[in-house]
Amino acid sequence: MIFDGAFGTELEKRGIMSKMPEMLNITHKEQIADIHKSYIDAGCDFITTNTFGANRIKMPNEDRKLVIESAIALAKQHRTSQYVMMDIGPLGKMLYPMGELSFDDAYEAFKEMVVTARDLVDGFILETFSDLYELKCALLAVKENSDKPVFTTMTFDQTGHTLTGTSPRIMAELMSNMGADAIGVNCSLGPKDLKPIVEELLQYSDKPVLVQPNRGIPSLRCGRAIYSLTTADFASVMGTFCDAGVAVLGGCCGTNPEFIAAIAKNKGKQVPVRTMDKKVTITSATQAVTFDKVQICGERINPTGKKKLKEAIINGDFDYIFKEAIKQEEAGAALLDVNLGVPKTDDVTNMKNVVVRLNEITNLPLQIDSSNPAAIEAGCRYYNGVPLINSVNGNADNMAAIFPIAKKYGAVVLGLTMDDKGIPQTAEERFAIAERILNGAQQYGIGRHRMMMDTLTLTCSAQQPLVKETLRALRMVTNQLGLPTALGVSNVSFGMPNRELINSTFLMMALENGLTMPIINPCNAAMTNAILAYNALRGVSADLDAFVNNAVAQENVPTVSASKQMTLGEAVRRGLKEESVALTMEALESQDPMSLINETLIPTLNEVGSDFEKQKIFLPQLISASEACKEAFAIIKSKFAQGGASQKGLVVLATVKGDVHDIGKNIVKVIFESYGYKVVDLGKDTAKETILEAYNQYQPMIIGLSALMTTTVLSMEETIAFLKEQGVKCPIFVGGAVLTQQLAKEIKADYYTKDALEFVETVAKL
Amino acid sequence: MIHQVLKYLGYPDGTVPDAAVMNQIEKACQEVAQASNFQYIYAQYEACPDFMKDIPAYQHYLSGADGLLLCATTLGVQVDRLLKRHQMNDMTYAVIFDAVASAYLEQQADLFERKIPFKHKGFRFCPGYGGTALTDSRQIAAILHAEKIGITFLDSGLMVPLKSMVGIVRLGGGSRKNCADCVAFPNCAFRLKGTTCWK
Repeated sequence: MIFDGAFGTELEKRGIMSKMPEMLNITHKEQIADIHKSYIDAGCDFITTNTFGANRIKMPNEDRKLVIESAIALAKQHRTSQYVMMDIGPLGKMLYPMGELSFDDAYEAFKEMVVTARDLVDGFILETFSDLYELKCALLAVKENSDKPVFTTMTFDQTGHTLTGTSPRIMAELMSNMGADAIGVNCSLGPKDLKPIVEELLQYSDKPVLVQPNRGIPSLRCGRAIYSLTTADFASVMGTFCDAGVAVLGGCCGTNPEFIAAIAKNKGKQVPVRTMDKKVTITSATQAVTFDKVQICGERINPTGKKKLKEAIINGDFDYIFKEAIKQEEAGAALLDVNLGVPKTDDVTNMKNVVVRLNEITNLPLQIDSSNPAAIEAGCRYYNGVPLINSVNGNADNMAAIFPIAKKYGAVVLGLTMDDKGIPQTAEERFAIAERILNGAQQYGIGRHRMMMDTLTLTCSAQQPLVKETLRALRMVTNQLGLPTALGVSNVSFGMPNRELINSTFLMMALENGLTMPIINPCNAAMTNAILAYNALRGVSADLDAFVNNAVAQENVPTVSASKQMTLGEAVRRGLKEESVALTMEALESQDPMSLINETLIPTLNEVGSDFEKQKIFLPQLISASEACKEAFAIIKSKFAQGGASQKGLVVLATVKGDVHDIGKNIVKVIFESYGYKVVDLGKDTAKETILEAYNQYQPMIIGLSALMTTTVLSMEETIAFLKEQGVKCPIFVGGAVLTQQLAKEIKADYYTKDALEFVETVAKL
Repeated sequence: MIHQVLKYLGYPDGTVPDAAVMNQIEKACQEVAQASNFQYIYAQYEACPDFMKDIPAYQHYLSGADGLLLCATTLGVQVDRLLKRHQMNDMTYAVIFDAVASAYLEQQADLFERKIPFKHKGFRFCPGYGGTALTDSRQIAAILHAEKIGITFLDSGLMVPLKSMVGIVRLGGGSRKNCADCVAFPNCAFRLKGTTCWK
């Protein structure tokens, strides 16, 4: 079938291009209808409405309903048998946390377009997206508010990825799973350059594939794009796409009705039916994970048995969670479990907030893990990619709660081979539940390529005879159902001595019985290395390389030992974190904490500061010494009673509203912490109300505000005025690249300091 | 490029950093080069856009020019993501990474501009330089449709990705970089040390 071609190019040809082409639906009706007619005459089957940017973000003050209704009427004016497709493009703003537009606000903007158009059009086309997250948001807005068909396309560049790093495969996986009706690529490149991208889409999409290339890559002259590809060259490559399996052809920038007439010769052609061998695949926005080898699921973000994490969740200290994510990624995890279930906390909101941030912080796919279906839904909704849901079980009510979520958000589901009667004893009974779950999934329209099974590890100390049942069930699921499998490995050793040995032995037994996704702590090198070795020995050369590279990297890591010759002061000065920690622990055996602070750490910091001012050392060394000192303080703090005498005082830091540059503020934070201050960091783009709230809650010694750009100094001024008006009594400090003493005075800040060090020194004198 | 990185990190000209810092700079150079998805778009004009016509700083920069390019360039979102991640994990490295990313964008943009087929081109003049408003970036970006290379704006006028530039390049001879035109002039840390942020 055939789509129409470029709209902007036709507007330019008629000399009516404007900054807001959607307004032409009202001011230049005749010309708009004429463009549609020219494509109808050229032989297209689908007409795209002139509504690409008719959303409340790009057109906040216009009568969008009128614009959209008029656009649809004009598209219908000359149509004979064509389908009219409501065109929806990106909103032009980056979604949070890359940008500031929230997922929910973006959803509302798309929803408004969908609701306006749904009864007037034959379907929707979401096109030219480069951010998978925004596309997912738009697709949800269509599917939750309309039953009409929806096509989705993204724009890929020469690297074979979208601007935000998504591959055609990842797009195809998520869009297919979520139920887009056709999936494709448009814009940016000419047909020839799109070939590898089209091939990848054909390989991984089980939906019809749609291709709308540009007329090659243009050159720009006086703001006008000059295209040189001929109609014949364009059409001949498009013909080969049909032969490869592409079912819908169209054109983007630079194409015109002649191009569409040329490709319309393919209309009605039988395209080959693709045979798909869909593998179980989960993805982030940038990485896809399949289970053709053993893949580690990092278990560290799960509060069961982890006191520190539990505290972090209760206190809303998500930075702790994010650091755990980075650590596990670096240690070799392929995906991360995220379970935030702590009694009396709001696990739904926490799941949403953590998942949104993890989308940006880690490249790894996530396993959304909760016993609360509402938390699972929150995790899946705000996740950027194909998530793994942990879990569903054999209970019919549980399946009724979980499978619809999985279907809607395109998730893969991990089934637990248990039901309301608990975990069955024998492998045969667990296998029977696995079959029941798989059948259940199919009833909800979830294919086996989206299912995995966990045959449940029991502890060897309490239920020794059942360990082998877990393994037998694993083998049965692997051999008879062909599904990837998961086990929480370390459960086996609860209550046992020498847990590591039990764990790694059980791991090997499980791998030999078909385990593909051990859920373990990847920072445990023995287990991770064993898995790397296991993969290497299976005979895939890439896995052998991975093993060798990892082994070489580990040999090159210097072993950490508190050098006899080095003092704590030297270790801090040189920014050696591990040594500083080791030497602090050593010193604390014979020295009391306060004297260690006053006689070693503070003098060292003063010396480092003075060297920095004299330009004997520079910013990187100042920060690394401060970071080492901060580590030392953390050790000392743990020796004091809770909230003990180590606290020098509390400061609140924030980058003001509108400013997203927070590196300066983060340097200040490290320096303050190195001196033993407690820092409440409100982050960047901070609303003045949030700062006031923190003031009331913590009663800090001072508030520090940062702004990098001239434009955000205004926001700083507003913040200061607001805080003072609301009765904030503590001094307000300001800093940032464009500030001066003079400017600080003008905006009524109490103090200006030129750098982080001067800031801390000034506060110390207060 | 290392020279520029050291400048951003506050090292006076001619200072050689210690081996640990150098190693981290090299690591960051590799990482930035790998993560960045450098994009540059431009369009050539005979006259400047209307909004620049009454602003002396642009007219001063463009006086005697044969025309101009509007340009927009970025390293893309992956560099931003890594920068945020490093700030969470290792501030020392994050500061180095940030300096390297800024220098890398300048370098890539300079290299790209060299290949644009005009013999005489001025330095890149970006809104925010003396006498011009940072918010002008948005108008240039709108003309170029810079969202096509992924450049978007926050309400405050800042760009996302952070490592992005929008500016103009004069065509024809006769323009040199000059601190007097700079927004940071009154408070510039480089000038206080007797140097400049550029070459």
